[in-house]
Amino acid sequence: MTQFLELRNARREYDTPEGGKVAALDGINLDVGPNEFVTLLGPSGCGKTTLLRAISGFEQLDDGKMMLDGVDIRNQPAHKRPVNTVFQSYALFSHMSVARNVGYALEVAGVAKADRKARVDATLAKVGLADMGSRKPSQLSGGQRQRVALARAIIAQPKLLLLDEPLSALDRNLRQQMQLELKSLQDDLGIAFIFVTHDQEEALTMSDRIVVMQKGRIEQIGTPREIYRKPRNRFVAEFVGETNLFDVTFADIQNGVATAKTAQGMQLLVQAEGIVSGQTATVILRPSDFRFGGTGKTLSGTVTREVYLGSDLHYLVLPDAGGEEIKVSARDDAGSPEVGAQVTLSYDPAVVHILESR
Amino acid sequence: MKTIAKSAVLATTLALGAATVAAADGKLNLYNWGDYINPEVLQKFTEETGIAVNLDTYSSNEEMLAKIQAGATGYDIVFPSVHMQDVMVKLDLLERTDINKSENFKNIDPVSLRSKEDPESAYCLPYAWGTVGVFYNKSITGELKTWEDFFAVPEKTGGKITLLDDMREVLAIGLMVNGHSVNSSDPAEIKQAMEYILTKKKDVTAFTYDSQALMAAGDLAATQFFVGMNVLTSEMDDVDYMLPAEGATMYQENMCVLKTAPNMAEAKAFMEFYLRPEIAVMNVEQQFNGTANIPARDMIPDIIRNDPNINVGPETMARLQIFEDLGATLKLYDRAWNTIRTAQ
Amino acid sequence: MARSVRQSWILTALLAPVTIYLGIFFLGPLLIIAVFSLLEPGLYGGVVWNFYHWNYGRVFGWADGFIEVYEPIYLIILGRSLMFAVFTVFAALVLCYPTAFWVSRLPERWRMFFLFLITLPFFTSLIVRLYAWLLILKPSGLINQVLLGAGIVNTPLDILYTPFAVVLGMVYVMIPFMFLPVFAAVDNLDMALVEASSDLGASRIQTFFKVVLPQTFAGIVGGAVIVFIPSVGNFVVPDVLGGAKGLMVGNLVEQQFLSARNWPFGSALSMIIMAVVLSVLLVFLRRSRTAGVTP
Repeated sequence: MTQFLELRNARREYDTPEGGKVAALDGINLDVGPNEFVTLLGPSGCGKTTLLRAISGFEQLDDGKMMLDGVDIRNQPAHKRPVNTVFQSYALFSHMSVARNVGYALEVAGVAKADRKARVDATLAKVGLADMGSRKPSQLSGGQRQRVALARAIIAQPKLLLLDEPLSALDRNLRQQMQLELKSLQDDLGIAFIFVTHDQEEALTMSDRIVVMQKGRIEQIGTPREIYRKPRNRFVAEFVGETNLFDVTFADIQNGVATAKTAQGMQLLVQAEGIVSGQTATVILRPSDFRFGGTGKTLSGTVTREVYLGSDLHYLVLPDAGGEEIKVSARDDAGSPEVGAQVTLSYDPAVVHILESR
Repeated sequence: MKTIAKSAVLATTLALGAATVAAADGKLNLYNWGDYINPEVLQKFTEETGIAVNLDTYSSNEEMLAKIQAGATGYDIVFPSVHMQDVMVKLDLLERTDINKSENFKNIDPVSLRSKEDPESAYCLPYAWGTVGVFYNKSITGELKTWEDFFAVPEKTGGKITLLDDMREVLAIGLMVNGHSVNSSDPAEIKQAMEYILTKKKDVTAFTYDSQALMAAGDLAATQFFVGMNVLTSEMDDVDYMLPAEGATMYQENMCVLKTAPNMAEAKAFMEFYLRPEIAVMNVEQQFNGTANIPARDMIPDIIRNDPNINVGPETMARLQIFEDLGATLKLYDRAWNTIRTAQ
Repeated sequence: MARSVRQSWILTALLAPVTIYLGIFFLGPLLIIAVFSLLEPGLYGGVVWNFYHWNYGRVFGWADGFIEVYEPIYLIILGRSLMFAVFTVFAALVLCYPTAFWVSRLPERWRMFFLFLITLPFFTSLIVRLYAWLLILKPSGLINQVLLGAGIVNTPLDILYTPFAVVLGMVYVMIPFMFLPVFAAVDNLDMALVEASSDLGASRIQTFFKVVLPQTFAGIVGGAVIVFIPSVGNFVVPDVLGGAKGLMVGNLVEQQFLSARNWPFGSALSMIIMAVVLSVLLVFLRRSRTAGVTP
């Protein structure tokens, strides 16, 4: 992958009211490809918005390197950077028409009026607002405003588009629709998107790669599949998707398979690659990794709770060996167990993922 | 000054007994110029008669007239200038009091009966009179004798001069230096007066009533003002008061009872009270102006009595003019005054 | 239907006190002024009930011809008063607008303190405050003492009784009225808009003129209107600090009632001021609306 945006050891510190310092960005290293959709994911306060604002130029880095397309942009003012932003609040200019909002970047760059109009019309058409140019932002719905903000940010053909939780104000259906549209728009434009969200589902849906952040640091960078299947640590595992975590000790390595034992004595089979007997670790199984009944490796337990979710059913199963309840998801099939039933859970040892020890 | 204060205390003590006797809860509402009556006069009246006195103030004859015409009620006594008294008699706003039949009216100098509409003083009682002249700081200006001297001050000395913010008083200067009556109704004379003032405007720092404090602080070299400023400047060695050779104006206000007065008896009692020389002199001491009460003149403190510019002699008196009502000609004065104030 | 009728009754009842108040204390006097402005002045004040259009003629070009001939003096006074008012508006705006930005960025505690300072003058009489200025500006006053003491000047500066003193006084009096609406607008300005503009490539100057100014324009218009109207008619400041040397239309009106005894002319002048102020307002509002900057 050719790197397009390159961040090396980026630091940004704030003074705390108590007189100390807190690092909002604590040594960030990040590469983004020229046509890549990268999502910054993390809880609020993790530094993802600060990182985005550092890239757009609204925050200055205290230390580190920031290159865009081979140019050092760290000390460039925001208005000189070939980067545009879709703001969380949309930040539309309420005193201008939709068309003038969209054409703003061209207007301040001195593009001739006729040329500007043609490009505004084309961009509005691209986001599905072909005949809305003469309206005021206040006359639009939330989704329409979101599209205006998008059109305004892409009209100048930035090399990199930054999106700061742009979908958080939309209702669920519209949000899901916009997720798909954004993705296809990105394919269409052929530019890099950096998308900030705290919604892991959104991140999994749209991203080429996800950057999981916490406390100003990057916890893991990877494709959605990597992040979901192979979280590096407990934080990533717990933040992205539903998770069963087991603290285990390995033993009995035979034929490439190891037995992992919890403190309560519950046993899991794990692929033994790189494992030493007696070693402790945390292993993870997603709720969807379990199946009721079936063959293969099994656990037994009692169903304690059932949550109906429409397409899915979620269960909590208390292992016979004791310990924490295991989360299990299943299709809403006939023949699902009832609360109180004694069940057998099967899983594939190959999907049991071992977290890096901290 | 000391002996007067003593006698005032004595009078107050004597009056206390009377006050308790005469504690009728009468009321009297005066409508007077600002700072134009010694508060001790009112206090003494209340002590003697038990009549409570309210005092409201105005700053021009026209303001008072406008309020009375607009229907302001409740006032008993007003203090119009003589020419305004004439207007008010014509407008039938004043009550005939027959104050001239009072025993003490013999105290009043007949010269002070100046009203054309009330020559016998059957309506109003002469209250106070004074002059409008020039106060000057002689350490800056040297001696001044004429209006020409006065207007020459800025150019000669760099000192500042001010005139009153008063249409009649300012135009009067222009009329007097050209030898006309301050009540002229001749448009040519009024224009001549206006042009005279216009030629002097560049030397006039301001038209203002605020010159007392500025004069006291040495910010002004000379100013046109009422004789009453002597209260302040008699203590200042450098500041003299003069009445210019070309002429100066005098004013006289009379005490009049309104037709609509709610407390007619109390109002007449106050007039009688003010006919007493010892009461009239209380005002002179505090105001430094002239009184029509002849016996009172003998009781005036020396510092006032011996100043020929305050206590003017007959030859000075001859060059003083008093304002009369202008009728419709007022419009010409008004426009001349507006032109003066607008000119750059 | 029944409900909306009831609601409109409730609305009427709620608005009635305001309406009656305005009717009695605003429209009533206004009507009296309008009628008086077309009557003959009484010789000793008041009015004579004859139709008399020369009150307006005296200003606009037809004097009565018996007592006086026409001179444009009143138009000059009116024009100068308007100029002074416009100048006051601009000076107050130039002072208040940047200050409003500064104050809106202060920590909450300091902001409240500053807003308190701005409203402090309301607790004292205007006349008293202007006389305080007189003492500050006079030749032996505070400013000159400081300047002389510091050796910056050798002779006291003439500040009192100059047009500068008048503008200074007017701006001083009007600053709270300009500051509060401007501050409200500036404080409400969404900083995301400024960032968006910058993000889209606008320089600071472009951002100011294309985003910040239009977004705060409602506050500017509000402040300008609130300052302009009383400035046109102000007569106290020119008297006290200007030494009554430059006549303003407000002085003229005052004078008609309190010394010239010409109530109808004073009324006519008041009507003219009102007409001028209203038309300026209309033009202003219409232009700001076509510019797309409605509050």
